[in-house]
Amino acid sequence: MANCVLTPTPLDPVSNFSASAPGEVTLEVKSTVGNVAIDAASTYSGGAITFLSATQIKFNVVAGHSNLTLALVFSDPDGAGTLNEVCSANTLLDFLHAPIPAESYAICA
Amino acid sequence: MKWRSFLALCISVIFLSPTLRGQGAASSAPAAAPGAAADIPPACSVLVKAIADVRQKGSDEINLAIADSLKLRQNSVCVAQILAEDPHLGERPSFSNFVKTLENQRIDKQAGPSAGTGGTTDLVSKGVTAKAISVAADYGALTESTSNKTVTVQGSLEGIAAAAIRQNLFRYCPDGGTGECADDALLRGLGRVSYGITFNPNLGTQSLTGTPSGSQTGSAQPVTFTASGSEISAADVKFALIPEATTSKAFQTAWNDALSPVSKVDVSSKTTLPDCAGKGSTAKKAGQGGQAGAANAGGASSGNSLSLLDAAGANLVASLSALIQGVNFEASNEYIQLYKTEAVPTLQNAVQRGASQAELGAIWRQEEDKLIALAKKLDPQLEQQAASLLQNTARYQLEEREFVACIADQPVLTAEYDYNHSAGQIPTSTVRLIFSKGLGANFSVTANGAAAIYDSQPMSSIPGGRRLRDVQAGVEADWKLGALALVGAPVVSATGYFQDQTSPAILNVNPAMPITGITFTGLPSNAMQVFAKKGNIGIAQLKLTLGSGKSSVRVPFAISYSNRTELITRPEWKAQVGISYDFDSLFTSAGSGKTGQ
Repeated sequence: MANCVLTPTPLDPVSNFSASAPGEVTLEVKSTVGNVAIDAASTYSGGAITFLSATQIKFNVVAGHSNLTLALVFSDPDGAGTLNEVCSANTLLDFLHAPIPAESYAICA
Repeated sequence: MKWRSFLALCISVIFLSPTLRGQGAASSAPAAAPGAAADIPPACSVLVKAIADVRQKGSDEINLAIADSLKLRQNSVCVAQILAEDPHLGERPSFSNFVKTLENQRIDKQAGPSAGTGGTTDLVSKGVTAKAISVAADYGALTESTSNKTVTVQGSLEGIAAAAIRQNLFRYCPDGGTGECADDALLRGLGRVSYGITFNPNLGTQSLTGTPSGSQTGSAQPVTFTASGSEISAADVKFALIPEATTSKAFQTAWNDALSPVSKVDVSSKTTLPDCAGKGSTAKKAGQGGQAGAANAGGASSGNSLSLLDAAGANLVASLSALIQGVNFEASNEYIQLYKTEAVPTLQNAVQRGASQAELGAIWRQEEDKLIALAKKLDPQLEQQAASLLQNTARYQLEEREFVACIADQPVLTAEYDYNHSAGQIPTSTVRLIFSKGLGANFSVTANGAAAIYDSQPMSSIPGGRRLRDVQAGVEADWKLGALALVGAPVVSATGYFQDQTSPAILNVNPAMPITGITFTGLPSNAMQVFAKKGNIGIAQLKLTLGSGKSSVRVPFAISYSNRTELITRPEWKAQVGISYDFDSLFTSAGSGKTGQ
């Protein structure tokens, strides 16, 4: 299992995650209520993301500040889930809620 | 007519029943979390609830939930909802423009006729119809003795509402927001009702009879004309008693298949991708002449739904990116200080002292209002960007809802009322129960049970003539063959049908207006009705429907064998054919452009 790269920075209003180093990161969404998937419209640094499945994406974190914008598809209007990094600790990065189908994350590497 | 009363009743149930609306809201809309402050918008209440839910967990999760509720990147829709409800915003040009824009812009399927309508390809009815509208033409007969041509228009009330929302005639507010908008509960209610109207295009369907109405004047005679027959040969309305489910294994498979990266490249390559158009296919009911059962014409294909969802997602991502990149208040020292030294610590303290969810809601709203007030002061563009985000979020959630409805299972149990007025026949009313069950990704079973009555008492001189015309039962098994070259994703259906004629089939006769396809010889001049020997009718049908899947066109071919028909008491082989077109793609594409960008 890959080492974890991202760490949430909840006390920093400007960034969401700090990356230990630039490089490849795999993220996944996990459903807790209903089903959740990542929509194809999601972008990283303004470009397309590599989809491994409907719930997993992969991209290369670039140095400096970058933006990850996710559009999420929920099967249930009350749906919920989490965003995790696919790594040894399966780091919890965010809580996801159907009423907020798009989230943007600032990554600092 | 009775079907009008029934339609009015169904609509009344949907719009007026507090139980229905309440159930919809409870099951679908993200209603304010229990105990949350009443003035917290729906998209914000889930964030407050998330804080309350992690109170007993570690500080990492608590801090994540707090940050999720306060950071604009993560609570942008919540912030937009707060801004939208701010009464002072109406005075500002940006929000005025948003409101003006909205105001200015206000303004599982069956395509063929229901079973028993005459001129159908379907022996059994299915639970739902096309989302917006579908048109099907069929030729053939099943229980009838003569083949008819019919044209059937079908759709669901939800489809009409969704099309209107896509055209920005009114807003979609999944969480039941304020103002004139359609919420999720309303769309779910409308989605339970579908309708169908069958026209008989045969020439001579309607005839005029002239009778003297006064004294002859010279060689001129005044007459009164009366019309007989009707272009509308049948109408039906369906109500899903137990709506579609999104928890089955078949739904999970369809969900993963539709959203997987492969299907995004080529939807038609997914053999298990559901056929939304097929969901509502009101297979024509036996007993209506010209039956071929244009299976599954109507609803939007899942590929179309997915395309609309992706398009709406692109707009949503663009508007969120514009919001994030268009504002810079987050980087100001004043904002950072307010966030770090007041908002976050205040909520952390509230969690640590075990504040209730209601208290957390009140505290959160207080802190969020401070952050928003400062953000508005630092960044005048915030409101305009938020209005755009809100509009695109609503559009995205509509397409998300339509996509889920598209791949969801068929309604488990549906009630149907049919009014049938075929040429030369006494009008009948049929009440039918429809049960549907998916068996894996490619198989499904639909069963019908029905009873038909004559709308008027048959003449007493007809032996065995009763109001109860017949009782019916039918079972259809469908097998999706998967995507094939040239023919789309065909569906093979095998159907068994049984009808117990409790009353003879009765025809009205009028020497001046012969019934198309039937010739009488030696009939007494004073005969007004004729009837045939009653009996049990058994029919087996094998049907191939081409064009299912991504296509908007469906062509069913069927062959059937019956031990008898309603008028002919000997075995018969018959063939049925139809074609249907789903207009959903036209309605959906017309309004799918970017909004509020």
